[in-house]
Amino acid sequence: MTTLLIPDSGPLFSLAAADLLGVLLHFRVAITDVVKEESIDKGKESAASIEARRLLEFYSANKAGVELFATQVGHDLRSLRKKDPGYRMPRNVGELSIQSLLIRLQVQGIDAPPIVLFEDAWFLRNAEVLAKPCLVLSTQAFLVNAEALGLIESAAEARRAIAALRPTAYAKTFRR
Amino acid sequence: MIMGYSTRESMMAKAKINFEIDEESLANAKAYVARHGGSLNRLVSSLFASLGEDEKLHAPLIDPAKRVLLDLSSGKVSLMEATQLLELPDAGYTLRRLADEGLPLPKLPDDVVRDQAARSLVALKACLVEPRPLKAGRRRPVAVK
Repeated sequence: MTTLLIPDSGPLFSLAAADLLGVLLHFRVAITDVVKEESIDKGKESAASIEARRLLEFYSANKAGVELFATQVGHDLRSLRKKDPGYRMPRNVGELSIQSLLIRLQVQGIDAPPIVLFEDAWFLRNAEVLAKPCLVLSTQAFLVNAEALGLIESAAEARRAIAALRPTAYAKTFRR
Repeated sequence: MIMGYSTRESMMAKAKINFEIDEESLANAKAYVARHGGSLNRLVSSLFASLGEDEKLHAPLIDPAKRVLLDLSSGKVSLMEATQLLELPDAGYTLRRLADEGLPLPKLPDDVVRDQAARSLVALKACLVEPRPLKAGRRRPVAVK
């Protein structure tokens, strides 16, 4: 069975910023309901950023290639919102929903531990303390490996494109 | 006159310094200590400790939004946290603000990235939908405009 790659919201926005979401199609990607809400669903709003719109378009065009998982955290958030429409989401709730999914997968007895893709800042704040079994991966390391696997031309170029939000600058090097 | 001070009274690590001072200034300092109590050690220590305090008071306050972006850039807060704190519609705006301010993305040390990449490559290959050799047989992803 192919292992799951579970991105958090931050890496999705970063990849969208450099127009690199297509790289995800090479992997078995799973996202939680909360991460979808934080990222893809934002593209539906009238004031959505280019990145959020790009995420929505990507998801709409590739639903079959992205597995969506409902989580207990997502369920609880929806319940709280029903009771209080002004309820404000706590911080880093996307990460919590991923933990919720990991627990569920562990209970179900998955064969291989999934890979969780976090933004680089997460690793500066945490010492990879997320509940095992999973392998946590920074966006930087993901890009390095995407280059090693021949999916992108250059991890360094990709990172520069994310920082500059200039996807066109990267168009020539993205292997399609 | 050359003076030597060793301040051993508090729990902080102490250093010994020597410096020259006019006889008249030293007499003035001794008289000050005699009038107000304490010691020359304490007087000099408190003078040193107070240096720069007025600069702090007059330092320009950093715009709270800039502070959040600085914290994001240094990895103290996540992209999603920063978006919430800045009350922006979504994280795309936050990345834009970061770029507009000329602030870099949070960066992990190169050795950490190398180590992570090396440890995860085999596992990442197991996530490939269509495992393929390096630079061969790539599928064209759906273009996102």
